[in-house]
Amino acid sequence: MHEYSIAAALADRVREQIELHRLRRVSVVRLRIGRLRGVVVENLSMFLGLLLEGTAAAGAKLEVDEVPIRLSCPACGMVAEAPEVWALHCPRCMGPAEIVAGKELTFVSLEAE
Amino acid sequence: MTEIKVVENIMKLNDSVAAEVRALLAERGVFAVNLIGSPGSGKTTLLERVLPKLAPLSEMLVLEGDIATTRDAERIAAGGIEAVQITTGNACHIAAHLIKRSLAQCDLSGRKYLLVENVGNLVCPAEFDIGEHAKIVVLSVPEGDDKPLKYPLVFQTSALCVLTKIDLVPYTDFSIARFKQNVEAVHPGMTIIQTSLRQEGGFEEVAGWLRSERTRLGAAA
Ligand SMILES: Nc1nc2c(ncn2[C@@H]2O[C@H](COP(=O)(O)OP(=O)(O)O)[C@@H](O)[C@H]2O)c(=O)[nH]1
Ligand SMILES: [Mg+2]
Ligand SMILES: [Zn+2]
Repeated sequence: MHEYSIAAALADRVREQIELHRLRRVSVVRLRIGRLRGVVVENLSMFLGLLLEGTAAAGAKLEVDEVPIRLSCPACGMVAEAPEVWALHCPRCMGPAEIVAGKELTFVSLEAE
Repeated sequence: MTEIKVVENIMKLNDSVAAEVRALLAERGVFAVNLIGSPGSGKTTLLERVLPKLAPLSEMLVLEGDIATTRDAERIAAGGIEAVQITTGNACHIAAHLIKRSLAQCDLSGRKYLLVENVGNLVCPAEFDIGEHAKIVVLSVPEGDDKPLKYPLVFQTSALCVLTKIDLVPYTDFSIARFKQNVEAVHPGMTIIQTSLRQEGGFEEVAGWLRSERTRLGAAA
């Protein structure tokens, strides 16, 4: 369900780009999404497809670069990838870690003419 | 075919309205919280029990988010607290512009607390910044002690976890120790307050947390 909310916001961003650059056809929409967002790409892609029907981006392919969750520990200096989406403490000293990557929801680029 | 670089936050529109709302509230000395939890987790009950202990009734304002009906706003208003219903139509979350629109119709003078009950859902509301100063995740015992692991984002981004309906622990396989471990894995150091309709203690604690958080964030006018 939250993929729908994200797709709706993204469809607005895509339409904005179509107008801004007067695009006739968009073939690819590229995103960067952090693992912590728990986005199911297949669902996002399906909703986006429905929302972009009838626009220059109809049928565009969604390409998603999934970003792993990276942790940085202020106490012991450890920098590591989180082994699971829910394991967000420092894997070395088990203290609270800062999340330095993994929350991205970025519209990166379009392939268009 | 050419590549057009965009590199922007997908949620930028919502986030900029949220920042506007947050600035407006801070300027008026209003501390805002966003309550997130599943349908029936006890969010409205929590507000009904905590608010009378929190502050004089006129210092609080409640926004009730629901897909339909004004039932929750009526429950809060019955306790003498101003409550405005936000119906989201079919949306599974409140977006920042709905808060902005509702606040434009409210008198903020003399208010110290804004409490927003989000649409019942543990997933979508966690994605949307609505201009709050803190998110509170509300989880009830019957939902199970594994939920922090299944919905890490809402636990990770919330400042407080309220575990409701602890009177039901004896009737379920819910383990409070395991729940605490799971919360700790997702959000080390997160404060958990346990509540039950059968005791006032937990509700007092939540009121105390809200007061100290408002002071800590310097929203005090
Ligand atoms: N047993 C028990 N039931 C509770 C408790 N808190 C709330 N409830 C019940 O849970 C149901 C849903 O509560 P409500 O506040 O409407 O949940 P909301 O949908 O999250 O706003 C109601 O029937 C409440 O009476 C509690 O501490 N113990
Ligand atoms: Mg409710
Ligand atoms: Zn460490």
